[in-house]
Amino acid sequence: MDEQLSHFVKHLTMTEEDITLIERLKNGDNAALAPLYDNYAPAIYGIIIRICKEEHLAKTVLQETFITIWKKIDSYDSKKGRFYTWAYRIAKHKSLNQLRKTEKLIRTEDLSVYDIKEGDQPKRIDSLKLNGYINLLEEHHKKAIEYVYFNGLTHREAHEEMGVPLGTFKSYVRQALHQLRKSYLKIASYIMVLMQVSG
Amino acid sequence: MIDKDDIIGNNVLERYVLGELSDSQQKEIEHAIYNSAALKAQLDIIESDFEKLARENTIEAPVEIKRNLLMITSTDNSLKKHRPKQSKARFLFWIAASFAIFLLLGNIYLYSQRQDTLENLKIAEQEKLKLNEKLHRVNDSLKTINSQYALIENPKTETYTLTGNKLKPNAEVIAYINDAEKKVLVDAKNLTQLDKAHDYQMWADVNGKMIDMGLLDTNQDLVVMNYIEGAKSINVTIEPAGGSDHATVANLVGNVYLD
Repeated sequence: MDEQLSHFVKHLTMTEEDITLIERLKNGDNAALAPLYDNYAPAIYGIIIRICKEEHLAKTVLQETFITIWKKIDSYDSKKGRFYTWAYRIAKHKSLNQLRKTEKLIRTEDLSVYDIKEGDQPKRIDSLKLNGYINLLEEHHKKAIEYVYFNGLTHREAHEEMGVPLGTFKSYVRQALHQLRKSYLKIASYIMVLMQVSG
Repeated sequence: MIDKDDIIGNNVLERYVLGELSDSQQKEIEHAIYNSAALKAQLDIIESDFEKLARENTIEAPVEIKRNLLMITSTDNSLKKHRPKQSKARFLFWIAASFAIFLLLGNIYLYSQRQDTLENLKIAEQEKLKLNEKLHRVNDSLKTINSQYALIENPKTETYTLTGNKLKPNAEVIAYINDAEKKVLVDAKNLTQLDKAHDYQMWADVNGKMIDMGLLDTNQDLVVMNYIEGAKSINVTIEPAGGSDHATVANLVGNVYLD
């Protein structure tokens, strides 16, 4: 099994290790932040950078996200959902807030007063290729997921962007997730067979 | 309350995971999830789908951010404080709780001690009352004895001795009679004990008629008897227990004529 696949498999469910790390964090052990960062930051950063589309901004948001996780960990309740979902929401809201702040700054400040050299210009990432099973979806399904999940748009914003009724857009999201689920089930079955053969 | 079909048809769970709901909607859906295992299961699937999607699109997270985080969280007091505060608060809570328990136990001990003391005091009070009663009784007895001896020693008191007849040859009864004070005292110790069915009874003979003077208690030193005016003699008979209304002359054990 290659390394990427093993990483994917490891995170199909929340591991005992994650549960222990979260508990340690709740007890004020900041050393638990490092392994938790290793486990979750790549996935979270993948979302942040796709919303912010700018590396420096994305790094700031990533740091702020994990500081918030550290500060607010007591409010995380596993009965309300996965740790990843909780962290994702924090990251998404921080990314959108940072974007709004930056846009406001551009609108209100006369940037011409600053002598901005070409090298100082923030590095913009306009599009990051999406990987995995999302690429097997039909184009409208892929777009729907990309808008709401990777770009941080709400259902209302995204349906307008796509130019389809809200009800239709909701169906797109549901159908896309259904298709993805089928693919993930297939790979899960494949992994189980592989494990039995190698075992 | 959100309807279950509404939740599924309107992508409410998906929007919950994506953080699109308002605070009130979020609380409402969390309440629904708590109360429906089916909804929770549906939510788990959606969360899992989205997380897998993210895991397929990871970007290497900057190592310097991890370093920054560890440094900030270990040195920034404003970040560190909220946890020690909690443990300090917990520590203070336990100190306060221990102190409260100590005070409570102390109060219970003092209360029980106080109860014991009150109980002892109550017993002492009762003992004191008993002793007082006893003292009163002793005083009364002393007064009685004093007055009886005063009567015996009174020059106006006449002493008469009744000796036993054939029925009780060894019987001896001493009677002290004071006409001035109209009092009679009798020493009946020398009368032999009777069975439980019989008592000695004393009679005064007034013009040939036997008048009851009372029962003789052989256990007492001196017995106060009824004074009968105009008595010519005093007589002692054996009567059924409790005494009779009329003297049983056949049971006469002794008599003495008065001067």
